[in-house]
Amino acid sequence: MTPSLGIALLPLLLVGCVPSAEPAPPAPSVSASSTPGPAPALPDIPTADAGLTGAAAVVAPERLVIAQLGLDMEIQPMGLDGDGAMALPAEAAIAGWYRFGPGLHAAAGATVVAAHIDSRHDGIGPFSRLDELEPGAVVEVTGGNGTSASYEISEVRSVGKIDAPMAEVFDRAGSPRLTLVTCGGVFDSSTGHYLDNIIVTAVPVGG
Amino acid sequence: MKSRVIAGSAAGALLLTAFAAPLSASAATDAQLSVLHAIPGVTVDVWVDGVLTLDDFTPSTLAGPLALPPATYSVAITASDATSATDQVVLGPIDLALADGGNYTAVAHLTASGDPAAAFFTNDTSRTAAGEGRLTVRHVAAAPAVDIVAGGAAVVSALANPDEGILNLPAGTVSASVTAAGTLEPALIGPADVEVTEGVNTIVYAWGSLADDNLALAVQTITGLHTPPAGIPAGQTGEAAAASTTGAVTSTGLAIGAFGLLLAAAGALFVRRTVLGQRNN
Repeated sequence: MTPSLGIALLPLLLVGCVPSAEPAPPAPSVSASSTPGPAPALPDIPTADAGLTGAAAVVAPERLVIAQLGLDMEIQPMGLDGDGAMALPAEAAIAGWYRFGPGLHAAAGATVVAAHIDSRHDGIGPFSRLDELEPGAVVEVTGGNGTSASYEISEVRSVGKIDAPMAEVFDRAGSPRLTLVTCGGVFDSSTGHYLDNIIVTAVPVGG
Repeated sequence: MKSRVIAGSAAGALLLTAFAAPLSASAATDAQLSVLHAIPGVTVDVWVDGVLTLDDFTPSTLAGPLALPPATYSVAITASDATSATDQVVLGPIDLALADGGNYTAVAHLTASGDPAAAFFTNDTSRTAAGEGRLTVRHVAAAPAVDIVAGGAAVVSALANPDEGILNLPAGTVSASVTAAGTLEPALIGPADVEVTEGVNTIVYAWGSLADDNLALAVQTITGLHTPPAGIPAGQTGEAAAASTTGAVTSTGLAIGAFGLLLAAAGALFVRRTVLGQRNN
């Protein structure tokens, strides 16, 4: 055996599952982080063309239907108010979608839709009944591109605003979900604010 | 070619082993390293600590981020048919010191005068304000100092190779041009629409060569820097509380609370007296 042949064989022993032109046994995964097995593969370093591309498509939710409540509302894209809080449509009859967060069909994170429980413009709104929702109730959301998504309620809770977990409500990394928010609990007429947030979580149906 | 793939695979195995050891030995947070190829016209190999890590790496390609235990790594860039980190060297080796939890981009690029060079940037991953994104512009092109012009004015002035400028901006689309420093036109690059996404550091590199007429933009994004809104004030009048059997309105709410406490206290007294009375009986 020549030394060069020995050197050539050594790498073959180390790596038995690297894709090549020749047939090889199928490898379950070629991920650097999750395959600590006896035959490590090349580091799986993602590469991408760094050329300038357009904005990633975010599908704005435009209509919210909850049959259990007989609720059918328009949704408008909203940002922030002057105090850095989420802005909402003036009318309690119209819901707002936090446009900086995930949209419809997002791969991860919470699509946040909120509405006034009551407003100076049109009184008590449909979201005043969010606390009547039971787990399993179906929520339909239609997006700006004509597509729709079905969710089912997984949790309804009331949280004091002081403790309201905004980072969690506006999470962009967790499993995809729809989060509906309004106010609830005691209304403090000295500040003009309710003391609680009603936070409803819904998870995608069949997906 | 096949032998090169095998060599690279063996190198990868060694690389993994080298990285796994320090990872298990400490509780340090991995650093994130990305690599951008910004030298026009050449395909290269990238070697880390003597090990082939990026094979046949082409211009305008961004690799990573690669999570690495904090340490100093030796990086060399060679011609794409090199047989080792010291064969047909294009750049390096250079030492990259990666700190605990740091986020970095190493860029193979041209100096202002057109020579191959490596720039090592620390990416700003601090939180962005709600509603804002971050725009980082980096000059890694064979060109004199430039201005970044948007909305008819220079938003970054006299940016020289290999420096950067950082702007925190309301989220939205920015139409920007790269011009010679001190001028608004003509555009050396652009105008191009750059998306400043909320909660994202969008890093734009001006690269290539002015003399060779191949200046271009490359983009890297770092997500997850967002700050949530301060709250969701979603009620204005208290009507819903007043109409609800479970809700309550403040002034009355507090009064009911106080009255309730009185009632409870009175009740307790009443019970005590009753008990005492029964004893007396």
